[in-house]
Amino acid sequence: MKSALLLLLGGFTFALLGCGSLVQDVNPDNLPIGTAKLVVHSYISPQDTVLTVVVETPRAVIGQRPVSYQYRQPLPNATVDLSEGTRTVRLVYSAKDGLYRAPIGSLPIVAGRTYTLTVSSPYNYPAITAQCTVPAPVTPTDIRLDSTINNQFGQNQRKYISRLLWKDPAGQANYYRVTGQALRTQRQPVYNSKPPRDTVITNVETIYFQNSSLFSDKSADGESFISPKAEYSNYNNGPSNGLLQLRVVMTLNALDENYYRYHEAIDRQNTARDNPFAEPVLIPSNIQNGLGCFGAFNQSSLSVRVR
Amino acid sequence: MKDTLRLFLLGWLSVQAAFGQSKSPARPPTITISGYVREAGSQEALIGVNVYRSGVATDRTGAAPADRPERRLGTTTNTYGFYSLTLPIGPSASQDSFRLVYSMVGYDTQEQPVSGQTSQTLSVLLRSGKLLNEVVVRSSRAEEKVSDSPQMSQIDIPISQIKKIPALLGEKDVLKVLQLMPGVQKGSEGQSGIYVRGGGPDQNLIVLDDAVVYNASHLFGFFSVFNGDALKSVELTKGGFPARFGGRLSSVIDLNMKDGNKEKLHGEGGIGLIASRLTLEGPLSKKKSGPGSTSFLISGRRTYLDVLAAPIIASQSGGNTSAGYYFYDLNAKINTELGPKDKLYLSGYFGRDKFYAKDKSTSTDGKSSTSTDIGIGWGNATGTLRWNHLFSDKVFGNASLIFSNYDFSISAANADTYNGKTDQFDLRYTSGIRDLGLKYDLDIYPNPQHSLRVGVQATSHQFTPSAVVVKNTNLNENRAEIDKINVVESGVYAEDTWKPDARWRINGGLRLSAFTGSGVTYVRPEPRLSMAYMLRPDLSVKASYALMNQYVHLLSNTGIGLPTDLWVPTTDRVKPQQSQQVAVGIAKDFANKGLALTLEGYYKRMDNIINYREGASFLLIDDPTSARKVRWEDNVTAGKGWSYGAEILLQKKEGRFSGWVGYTLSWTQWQFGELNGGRPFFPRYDRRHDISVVGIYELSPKITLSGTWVYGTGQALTLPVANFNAYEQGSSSNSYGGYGNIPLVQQLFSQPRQVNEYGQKNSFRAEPYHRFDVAVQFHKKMKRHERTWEFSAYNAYSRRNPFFYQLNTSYQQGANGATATERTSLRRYSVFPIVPSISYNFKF
Repeated sequence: MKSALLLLLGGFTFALLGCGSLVQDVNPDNLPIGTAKLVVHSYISPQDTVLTVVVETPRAVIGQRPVSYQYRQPLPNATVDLSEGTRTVRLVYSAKDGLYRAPIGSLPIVAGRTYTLTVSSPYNYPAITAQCTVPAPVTPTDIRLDSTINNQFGQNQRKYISRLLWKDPAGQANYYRVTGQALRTQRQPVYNSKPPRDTVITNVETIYFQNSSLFSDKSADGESFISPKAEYSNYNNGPSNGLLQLRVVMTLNALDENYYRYHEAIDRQNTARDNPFAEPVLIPSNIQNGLGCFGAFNQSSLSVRVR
Repeated sequence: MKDTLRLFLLGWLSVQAAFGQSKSPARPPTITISGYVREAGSQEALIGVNVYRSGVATDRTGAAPADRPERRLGTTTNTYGFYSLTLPIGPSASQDSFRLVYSMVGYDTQEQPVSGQTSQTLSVLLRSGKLLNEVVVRSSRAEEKVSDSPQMSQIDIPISQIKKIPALLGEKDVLKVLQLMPGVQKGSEGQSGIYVRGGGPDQNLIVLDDAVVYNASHLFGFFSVFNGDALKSVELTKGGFPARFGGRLSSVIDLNMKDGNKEKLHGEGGIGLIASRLTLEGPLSKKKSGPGSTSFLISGRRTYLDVLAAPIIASQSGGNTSAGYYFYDLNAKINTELGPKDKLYLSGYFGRDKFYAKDKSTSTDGKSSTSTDIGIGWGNATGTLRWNHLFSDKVFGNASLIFSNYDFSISAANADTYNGKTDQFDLRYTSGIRDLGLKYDLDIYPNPQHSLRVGVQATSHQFTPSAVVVKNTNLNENRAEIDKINVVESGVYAEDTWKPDARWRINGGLRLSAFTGSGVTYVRPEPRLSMAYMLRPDLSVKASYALMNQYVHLLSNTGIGLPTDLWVPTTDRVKPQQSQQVAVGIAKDFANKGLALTLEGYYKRMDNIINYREGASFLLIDDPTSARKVRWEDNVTAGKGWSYGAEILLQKKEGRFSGWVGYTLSWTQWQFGELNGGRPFFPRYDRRHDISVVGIYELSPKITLSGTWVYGTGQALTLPVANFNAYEQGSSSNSYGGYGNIPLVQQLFSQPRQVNEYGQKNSFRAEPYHRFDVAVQFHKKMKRHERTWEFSAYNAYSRRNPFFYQLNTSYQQGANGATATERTSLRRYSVFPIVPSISYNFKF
C-alpha cells in the first residue's frame, strides 16, 4: 500500500516537472524542407501572338525569410526550348516582365500537333521536360441572354445574364474553360481638354461566372453543354449615362487535359485551404522532374450585342 | 454467382466425404444432455462456457497424454447460456456414468456426474472464481485452450478485467481496451475509434444485443457509449468470420448486456471526475429461477460538467446566458421465462450528447428583447425484443425484433421582439439512420461432431442524409427539405462447426447477402472457412478465409468520431465494399503457466472502399446554413486497399498476475484513381509497429495495481513540403487580376496564386505515439457493500503525443530598420499531458 502510494506520488511529481505546453514546435531538422524542382508554366494557343514561359523556383514552407521578399521570383539564366517535330525555338529571358519569350512566327502553334518544352538551369535543379498536344477548337452554338432589373440603394441596376451553349464532339475526351468579356462603348466627357468635349471609348471588362468555368465531358460525352450564368451589371441605368453599345463576347477555350487538371486542382486547393477537415488537394503536374503546367488551349468566340 | 454457390457446396460435401470415409458407418446409440449454465447468486446466463465429458483418456492430474490430442467430446454455451451435448453411449459399464465438466475463465470449474443412459436436462450454476485465493494455479487448464477452437482472430476480454485497466479520467471503456489488442489500433489520442487490420472505423459492425450501434462515441470520440457495468461480455472478431456475421469488412464487436440478477437486488455504481453511474438489477418475481421468473437491469451514466459550470456562467452573464455540454447513457433490460422452453428478453439502450447555449437580452426600456437558443445533439437508441424457444434438446431457436436509430441535429432559434411584435427564426438540421430488423437463428446440435447454425435476417434502413426545416416569420419563409432513402439489407446463412476427428476443427459456412434499394439490387454469396489442426494437445495450426460485403458506408474524413459522420447506402454510383481475408496462425497453450500464445499472419484485400475526394469534406457536403443540396456521391471516390501483417499475443487471463503483451507488424496501402494521382499510398492509420503491454497485479485482497504501456508508429499525414506561384491562363478569365478595367491587351498570365506542393500523399510520418497509464485500486468490504477507491494517471510520463499538426507563421519586426521577417514552423498540438484522476466505486 505504501509503496503504491509512493509510486503514484513519484509519478505525479515527475510528470508535473515535465509539464510543458501542449503546443510545441517540431524540430525542423526532422522535417522535409523544400523541394529542389523548377516551377515552369506555359500555355500555348493558336490564337496567341507570342510564346511565353515562366520559370521560377519553389519556396520552403518551414523556416525564416524576410517579409518583403519578392512575390514573383523569376529565374533568369535558364535555357528554355520549345520544339515541335524537327523545329526548335529558344525562348529568351525578358527582365521587364520576368518571362521567357519568342515570337509566335518562330514556331506556329497548330491544333493536333504535339509540342515539347525543355528547361534547364545552371543551378542545382534537375532539367525538366514536358509535352502537350494542342486541341481542336470547338465552336459554340449560341449565347443565351437574359436580364433583370433590381433596385439597389435607390439605383436601378440592370443585370445581364449570359450563358454559352455548345455541343461536345463525341468519342473523345474534351475539356473546356469558358471566359467572357463585356465591351461597353460609351460617350464620356474629356474634362482636361479645352473646351471640354465628349469622346467615345470602349471599356473591356471581365464577366464572372457563378460557378466554376471549367468543364470535362467525362460522363457527358457528346452531349450539349451550357455554361453557368455569367453576370454583368450596368450601374447608372439612367438615360444620361452615355452608353452607346454593350456587347458580350463569350469564348469557349478547348483545353488539353494537363491544362484542365492543373487549373481544376488549383481551384479545389484554394477552396479547401481554410477547411481543416478537408483532404489536402495534391496539384498534378505534367512537368517531368518539375512542378507547374505546360498546357494548350484553342479558342472560339461568339459575340452578341446586348444593347 | 450460382457457380460460386455450387462450387462451395461441392467443396464442403467433398471435405465431409473425405473425412467420412474414415468413420465407421454404423453409429452407436447416443444420449443428449442439454441445459443452461448460469452464474451462482445471480442466475445470469453465461456465454461461452466449455462443457465436455471428463476425458477417459486423461490421467489423474487432468492432463492429456503429451503427444496425442485427446478426442474430447464437448461444446460451448451459446449467447443465452444454452448447451446441448449428444454423446455416444457404449455397452461397457464404465461408460454408464460419467462426469460433465463446466468451465470458464473467472469461474470455478464444476463437475457434474451424469448417470443412466437417458437423455436429460442438466442446468448448472457456476461460482465466480475467487482470484485471490487461487494462489496455486491448477496443474491443468485444458478446458480453456485457444488451441482447441477452429476460430481464430478472435478476442474476448472479461469485463472484470476491463474494470481493472487504467482509463482516461477513470471512465472505463470497453472499446479502448480492445484497442490494446494486436491487430486493433486506436485512431488519434484518446479516441475510441477502432481500426482493425487496416480497415477503417466504418468497417466495424458494433452490435449491442443484436442491434447495430451506428455511432459508438461520446464527446467527439473521447468516450465510447458502452457502460461496462451493464455489459456481460464483449467479443471482437477481426478475421475468419463465421457465416452468422456479415455486413462489414473488418470486424465484428459483439456486446451483450447483462440479463439482471434473478436472486436479489444488486447495485453497482461509481462517482468519477466527469461522470457518475449507477446500475441496479434484481428480481421482479418471487420465483428465482425457472418458468415465471423475471428480472430487470437498469443502468445509467451522466456527465456533470454542465451542472457544475451552470452557476458560474449564470453569475457571469447576470442570468442571461446558459451554456454547457453533457452526455448520458441509459441501458435497460428485462427478461422473463415464459415456460421451460421459452424465454423473452427486452433490452434497450439510449444515449445522447448535447451542446447547448441560450442567450437572452432585453433593452433597458423593456421594449425590445432578443433571445437565441442553439443546440447540437446526437445519440443512438436501440431496442431488441428476443424470444428464445427450445424446439428440442438439440435445437435452440431465437427470434429477434431489432430497432436502432442514430441521429444528429443542429437547431438554432432566434426571436426578436420589438413593441410587442416578434420575428421568429427557426432552423433545424438533422441527419441520421434508422433500422428496423428481424432475425431468426437456429442452433442445432445433432451430434458431438457437428454444431450447426442457420439463420435469416432482414433489415430495413432509412437514411436521412440531411433534413432541413427553416421557419422565418420575417421573410414569411417556411421550408422543409427532407431527403430520405429507404433500402433493405438481408442475409441468409448456414454454418457448421465440425470436429471430424481428434485433430481437426473446422468451421465452414456460407452467407448469402442481399441489398435492394436506391435503384440497385445486389445478391452476393460470402463463403467462410476456418480450420484448426492440432499438432499436439496444446498446439494447433489454424487457417481461415472470409469474404465480406458492406452495403452501408460512413462518410468521415477526420478519423475522429465526429457526430457529423454520415451513414449512406450503396447507390447506383457507389458500389458495395468488399473484402477478402486470408489468415494463418499458430495457437499454443502453456497449460501449467496459464499462458496462451497466438501468432497470426493475415492478408486482406478491400475493393470499392470509399474516401472523400481531395479537397472535399463534410463541411462542403452539408452546409446547414445555406441548405444547399449537394449529392454526397460527388464528393467521394472509390478505390482499393490491401493490408498484411503479423500479430503476436501472449495472454494470461487469470491468476494474481494477469494481462497480455501484444505486438503487430503491418502494412496497409490504398490505391484510388482520383487520389495521389492514382499511385498507391499509405492511409493515415497505416501503422508499422504497434505494441501494447497490459498488466494487472493483485498485490493483496485489498489492493490491485495495473498498468498499460502502448507504442505505435506515427500516422501518415500530408504536409506541404514547399509552395510555389501557380500561373494560370491570363486575359479575361474569371480569376485573379481581373478586377476593374483591364487593358485591351490580353494578359499573358494571371496574377499567380500560391499553391502548396505536398509531394506524395501521406508521405509525412507523425512522431510515434507512446504512453504509460497506471492505476491502483483499494478495495474494502463494508457492512453492506464493497467499495473501491481508484487513483489513476493517464499518460503518466506526460508524453506530448501528436493530436494534429498545423503550420504556424509568426512575424517579427526587424530591429533598427532591418527588414521584418516571417517564420513558419510546424506546430504539434497535443491533447492530454498526464491526467490524474480519482474515482469511487461501490457494489452491493
